[in-house]
Amino acid sequence: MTEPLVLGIETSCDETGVGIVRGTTLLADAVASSVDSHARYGGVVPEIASRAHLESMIPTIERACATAGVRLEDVDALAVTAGPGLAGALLVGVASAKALALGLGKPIYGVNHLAAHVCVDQLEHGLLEQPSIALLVSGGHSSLLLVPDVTEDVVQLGQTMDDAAGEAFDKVARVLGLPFPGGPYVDAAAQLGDPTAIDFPRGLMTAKDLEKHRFDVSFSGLKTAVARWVERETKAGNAVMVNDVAASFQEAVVDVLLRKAIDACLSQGVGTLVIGGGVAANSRLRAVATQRCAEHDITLRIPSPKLCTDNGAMVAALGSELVRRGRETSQLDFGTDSSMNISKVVVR
Amino acid sequence: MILAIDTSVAISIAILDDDLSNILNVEADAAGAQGELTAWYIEGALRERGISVDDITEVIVGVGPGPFTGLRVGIATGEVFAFARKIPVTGVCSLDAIGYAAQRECVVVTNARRKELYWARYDSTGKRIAGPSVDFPAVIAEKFVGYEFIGPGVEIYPDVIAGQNVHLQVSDLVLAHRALVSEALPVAPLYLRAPDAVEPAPRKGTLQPVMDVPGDKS
Ligand SMILES: [Zn+2]
Repeated sequence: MTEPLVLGIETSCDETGVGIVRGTTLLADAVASSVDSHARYGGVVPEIASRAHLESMIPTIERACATAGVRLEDVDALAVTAGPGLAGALLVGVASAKALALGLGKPIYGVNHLAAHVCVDQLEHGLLEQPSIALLVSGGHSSLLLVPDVTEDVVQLGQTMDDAAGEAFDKVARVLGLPFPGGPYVDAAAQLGDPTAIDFPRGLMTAKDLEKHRFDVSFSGLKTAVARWVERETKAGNAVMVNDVAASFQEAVVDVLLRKAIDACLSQGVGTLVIGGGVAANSRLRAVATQRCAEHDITLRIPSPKLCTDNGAMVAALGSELVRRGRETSQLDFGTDSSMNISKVVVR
Repeated sequence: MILAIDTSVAISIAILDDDLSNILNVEADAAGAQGELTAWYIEGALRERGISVDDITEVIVGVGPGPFTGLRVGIATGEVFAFARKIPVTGVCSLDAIGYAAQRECVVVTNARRKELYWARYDSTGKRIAGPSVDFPAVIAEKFVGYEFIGPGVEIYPDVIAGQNVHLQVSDLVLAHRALVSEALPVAPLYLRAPDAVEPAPRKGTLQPVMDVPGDKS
């Protein structure tokens, strides 16, 4: 028996993603990004993103089918991001996916974007260990999750108290005169800099903070510290060493994220850490994670960079897992939820 | 059979026989719930009448103008459904449904939010002769002194634009299009407004991008 063919649609932010998987085999991951339209605004403009999703939807579905070498009518089930994300953007994807379900007469799952970020790793590294710990870091989220079962039981251990990790990268990039989105530019600059040059603060790491916010993170203090430092140096007439600032900032972010993630693994007795989200493409995060997981005998799973950022393949991967486990599908009247809680994996 | 969808005001769905008889209309005053209910209502309507999706041979969709978020749901639904079924889909100006049904000289007004109204002017055959456009109520009132205003827009600023509230039924949009009164439009929203987005002012004393100065370590 061949495994089911699942098409996934993702429109929670500025990427229109359509992915197709068969079982845990990735067949297509078509993405149309409107990021260039947002760059000059220094952030994603929701209305521009929504307009772009509608324009890109059918061409992206066509591209995914062509790449996968399948016909739309061969798809066995649909999955779509129902939240969290930008409300207007989510609606375009959900309306499109429902229309496919209706037109093709196939079942549909409205799924949680965060669970999809975790599940996508199954396309590259096989079925997830149960339980796993997941660290999701992107421009939209910073969450530390305990994942006993990615299809129905995900527990949030911690999250950011202010900015998402990727947001901090964007803001620091702006302070340093680097383009948007900041992640790749800060990463590139940091590779030329000294991560120990400046001792930037590590948020929520004092003993008192750890009592209440053991697995939470905070980046606004760090972001402010970077801005102050740059301002002070500039005022003093010193040349700001952009590469050193980038490297030191990045080191602070990576250090905190991984200390919390490793602590979560050890305290929960979980032997696997999955990292996902756009910031998981950061080279320093990958390097330090590899090193620290090895030190603590934790299995580290990070998808390749293309699957870390928002895409349709991750939604298809979760849809496929839901089919494999025989989970109940969504009714066609499910809604979008821009602040969807991770305790809900599927909306019904 | 024709499937017609409009979510420019609320939700209006219709299924019509090819000879335009036997109309099934589903209406819901559900502005803001288009995302939840549009596909659900279509599914229910098909089931209730024992119609298979194979029986649908054409889709007609209202392309606004209307509040963008809800409007896009109907357009995405109609467009992607037609794509999945490999059947043709046509866009039609949503206001034409009301203008054509009226069959008298009038100005149709609907809610454009932000203290504005969408409007279009119709002749006695139901043909649009001006608009669609968007303006403040006072501007519209001044432009069309002595005209009859109809449509859901009349209830929002009754002191400025008064008239009869007529609901939009998408089956009328199909009739207008079939009567060659309402022209086919691209299947894309009639936005009539640019997205608001403000470019940030350049930062004072912004540093040079490091990519251009890789050797800036002094
Ligand atoms: Zn994401």
